[in-house]
Amino acid sequence: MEHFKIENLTFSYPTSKDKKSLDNVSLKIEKGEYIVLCGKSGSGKTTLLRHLKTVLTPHGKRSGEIYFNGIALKDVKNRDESAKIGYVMQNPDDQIVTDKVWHELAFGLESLGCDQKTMRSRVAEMACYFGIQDWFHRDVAVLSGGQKQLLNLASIMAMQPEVLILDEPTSQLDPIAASDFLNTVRKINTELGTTVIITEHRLEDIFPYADRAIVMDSGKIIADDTPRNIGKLLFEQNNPMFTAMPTPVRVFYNADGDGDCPLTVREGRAWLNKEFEIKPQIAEIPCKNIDDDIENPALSLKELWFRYEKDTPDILRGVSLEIPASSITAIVGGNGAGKSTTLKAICGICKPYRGKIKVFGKAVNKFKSGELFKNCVSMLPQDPKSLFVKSKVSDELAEMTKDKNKINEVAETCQITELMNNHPYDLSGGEQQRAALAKVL
Amino acid sequence: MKDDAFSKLHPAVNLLFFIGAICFGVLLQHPVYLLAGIFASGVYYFMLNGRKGVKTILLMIPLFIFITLFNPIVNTRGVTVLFSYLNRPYTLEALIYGVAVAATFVLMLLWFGCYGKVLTGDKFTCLFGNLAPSLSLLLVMVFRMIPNLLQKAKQIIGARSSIGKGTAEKSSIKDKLGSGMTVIGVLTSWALEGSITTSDSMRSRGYGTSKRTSFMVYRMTKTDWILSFIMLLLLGVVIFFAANGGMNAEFLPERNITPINGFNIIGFITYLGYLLIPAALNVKEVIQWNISKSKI
Repeated sequence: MEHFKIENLTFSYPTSKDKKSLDNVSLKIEKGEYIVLCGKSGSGKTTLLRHLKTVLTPHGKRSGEIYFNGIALKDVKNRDESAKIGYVMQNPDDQIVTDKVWHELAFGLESLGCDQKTMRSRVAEMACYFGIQDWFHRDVAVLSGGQKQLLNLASIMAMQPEVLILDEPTSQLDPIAASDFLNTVRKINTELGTTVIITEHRLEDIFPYADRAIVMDSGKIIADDTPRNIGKLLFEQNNPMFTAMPTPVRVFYNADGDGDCPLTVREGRAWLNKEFEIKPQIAEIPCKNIDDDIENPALSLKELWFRYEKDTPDILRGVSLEIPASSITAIVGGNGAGKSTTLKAICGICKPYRGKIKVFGKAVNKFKSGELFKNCVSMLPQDPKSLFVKSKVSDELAEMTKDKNKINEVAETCQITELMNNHPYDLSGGEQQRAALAKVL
Repeated sequence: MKDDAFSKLHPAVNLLFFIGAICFGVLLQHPVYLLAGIFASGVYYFMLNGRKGVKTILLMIPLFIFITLFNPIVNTRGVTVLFSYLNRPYTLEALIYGVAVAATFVLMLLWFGCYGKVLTGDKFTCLFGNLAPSLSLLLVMVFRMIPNLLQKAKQIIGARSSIGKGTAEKSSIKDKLGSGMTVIGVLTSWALEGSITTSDSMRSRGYGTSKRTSFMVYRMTKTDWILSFIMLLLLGVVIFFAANGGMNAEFLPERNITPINGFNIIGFITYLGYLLIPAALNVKEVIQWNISKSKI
């Protein structure tokens, strides 16, 4: 028997009368399958996932039926459904309810009314399985984003669900944490046999392990096949989703490859070696020599030292840097290397206790308030939401300048002209970033 | 001190101790007992807070003197008039009573300081979780929300000042107010947005489907039982002596303080012993550690 069966599901939100968010979707999911759901933003992935859990189902017009273990989902008892269907959302922070790690792990079990003994063993089991024991007694507030999302997953797994639904769980994590997280999800699928349904942008990490990939576009399922075959379908349809496929898949089809499509870099390399016996010459990319002495640098940092508190270690230790005018410079480094701190120091949010910062040859502390940010320096923060203060995107831009032509020009560059009348919070992640960039510009 | 031996015990034992210490701190007005209270609370406060604690304890001295000197001004009862001012007497008894009030006040502050360090929010909610699960969950969520909001506010202020919309030191009060209001506005909509996700997450984990239970991360160990027993025993002895009048002290209008004699000194020693339990546990741990170290 199928684990989930969706029959002709059609759904539209009350606000958009003619546009269907889900259009005649039918789908069968077997027990223990690992399914990737992909598609552009706004293609109905989240809407579909939310239908698989009654308490999260959005309001709107709906027809069609969903069965869970052969019973119509709406007839499944609320308590059973909470325990058996786990749902992990995007935002790692807002999903957490309590203030301590151990309490969060137990939250689901507490809600289900488990007794002490069961809770104790399940919580211990999950803490161990997810490697949480080192930070078991900590406050949730001190965890990193990756740890928080892992905690959300562990807290749901403590209820021993049969199905795990993940809605872009790694979209707010850094690449290393994201890869760790996805590996854990795979481990759950293979070791515990939990059915996994996931939507994800980072396909490279999960494509090789998934059983099925389902591609959605404007509320319809347009492709449903194994990951190995799905690339071909998309390539033949000339679908824009093809560009989101892992690199080996894209290279394979663009080079008119035959046979099985490689999914991992390793398979890709093997295929390349077999296919091209003469090793292709790798053209050297010309690299501009960066002069040590830049005349009139736009920005120069000299021996910056900074720490957040008196007894904490130094974050910046003698940072020196010169950046020429009208150039793009990238600062790279691992987590906690001091990248954001450097940027904050340039903007004067952090005041280094030693060293000098000069913008166009003028020391930062000699700028009068506000002058520094007029046509001189701007910073786009990590979380775009921290910049939005108004209820319309156009008002956001108007807060920065009154010149209408300028606003239109910037909106054009950032491709947000159609979004000008929306509330900033209603935009998708990528759109929010663009709107924030427009505001900063 | 981070690894305080007393804090590692079951929260119920901690709570029992503080209830005893604080109740008797208020009830026993006998100067010797007050002195014992100040001494014990000061020692334990220092153990919990280290060098920072000394500063707080030293700050208590001016407070102590102030309350002592201030009491006779509002309270004119007492038989021994020291001097008069504006036709009001300033009496010796009121002054001594002031000492007692000040001492009670100071030891209360110190005990509550220790209480805050030992019985953290999570321990408290853990204790009462089974009695009122919803209320304790509410408390837990508030504990989480406050630092969260502060952090977000910092982030917003940082983001705004990095695009030149922050407030400088010189800007007018009106500007500062305006900017503060914007930050609060953003914070509110952000928090509301987040709370939708939180409630989704709660409901999807079965909140409200059955009667809530509460997970106890702490377990009563043998040590916990033994210590609770000792505490109750000591408290019983103290109550016995208090009931027999061994700790009576009256200040107004006439001084009438029961002298410490060979008999009721047992009550005093018991009381001091009770109050020093947390400190003694720490000392015991240090000694034990040193012994086992010397054996290596």
